[in-house]
Amino acid sequence: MRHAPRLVAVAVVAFLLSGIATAAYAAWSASRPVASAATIRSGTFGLDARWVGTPAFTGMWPQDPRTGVVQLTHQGDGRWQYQLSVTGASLPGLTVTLLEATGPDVADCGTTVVTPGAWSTTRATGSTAYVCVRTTLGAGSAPGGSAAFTVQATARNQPST
Amino acid sequence: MTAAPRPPRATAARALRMLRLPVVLGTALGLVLGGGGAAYAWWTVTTSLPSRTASAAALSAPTALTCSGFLSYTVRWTAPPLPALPAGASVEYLVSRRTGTAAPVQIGTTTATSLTLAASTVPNNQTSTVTVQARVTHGGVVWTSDASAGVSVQRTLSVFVSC
Repeated sequence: MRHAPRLVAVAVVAFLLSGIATAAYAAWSASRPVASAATIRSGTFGLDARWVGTPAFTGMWPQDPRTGVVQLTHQGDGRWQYQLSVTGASLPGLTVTLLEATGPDVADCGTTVVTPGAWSTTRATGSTAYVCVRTTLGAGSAPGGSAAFTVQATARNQPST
Repeated sequence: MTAAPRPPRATAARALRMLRLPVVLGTALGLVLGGGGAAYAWWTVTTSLPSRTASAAALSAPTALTCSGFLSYTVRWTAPPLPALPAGASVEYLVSRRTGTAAPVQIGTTTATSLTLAASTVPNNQTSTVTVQARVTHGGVVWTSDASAGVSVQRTLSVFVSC
């Protein structure tokens, strides 16, 4: 039993030596420099979010919607997605609806609802998205009230194709 | 009796064994966290757009109420200024009276800015206060203004009314 560690050590050394011997008979290999040196660099990512013009959501009558358009422009590399959220729309009877749009005009607003907090489809690098913000006073509303609301836009990158 | 000191090799082996479990746990934790992090390895930016104010149109009460009468009485008022109404919206005026401490009673409606009412719309031998409210209806939603300042109406001998 006293010689057991030595036996183990001898076995390990023998194994290592046999491994080296195997490596000595490994397949042939060759290396060549790549002709044109590739540059690896980190990307950038940003979002420019703004109102198109100065939309007014004031002086609303019941069921008399007001619409503004938000422009979201991707900056940087890669593809991207966006999501929107609305806070502070606390006026009784006020509904704020987000709709997909094809351009910066109110007439470009579609009928497809953009769900707050849900990611959009993946969009191309540097592309611009438009979203309509529509406010409506419905049941439960009353004359004379007001509330400030904020639209928050979040973007995240997606791998390039 | 004193215990013999352990040989240095045994001490090192014991230290290695003690180190092994935390290393394994740490590696597993690192893989889990690292793997989770890789799933969320997006860049994210958030921007708040300038706040906007949403406001309901103001609907003021009619003003400058006047009243004249003998066997009936006519109430006139000035319509409140209204921002442009959407197509399909309607405006009408509700005329009510309050007598004593009783709840207001609606006694007429009109889309004009005056209304002639029968003497019987106010209680006999009592003084009532007549007020007017503006009401806008659109898309099934109704907004009503506050009541205007009131005018007093008295009915006497059942058929005579004075303001």
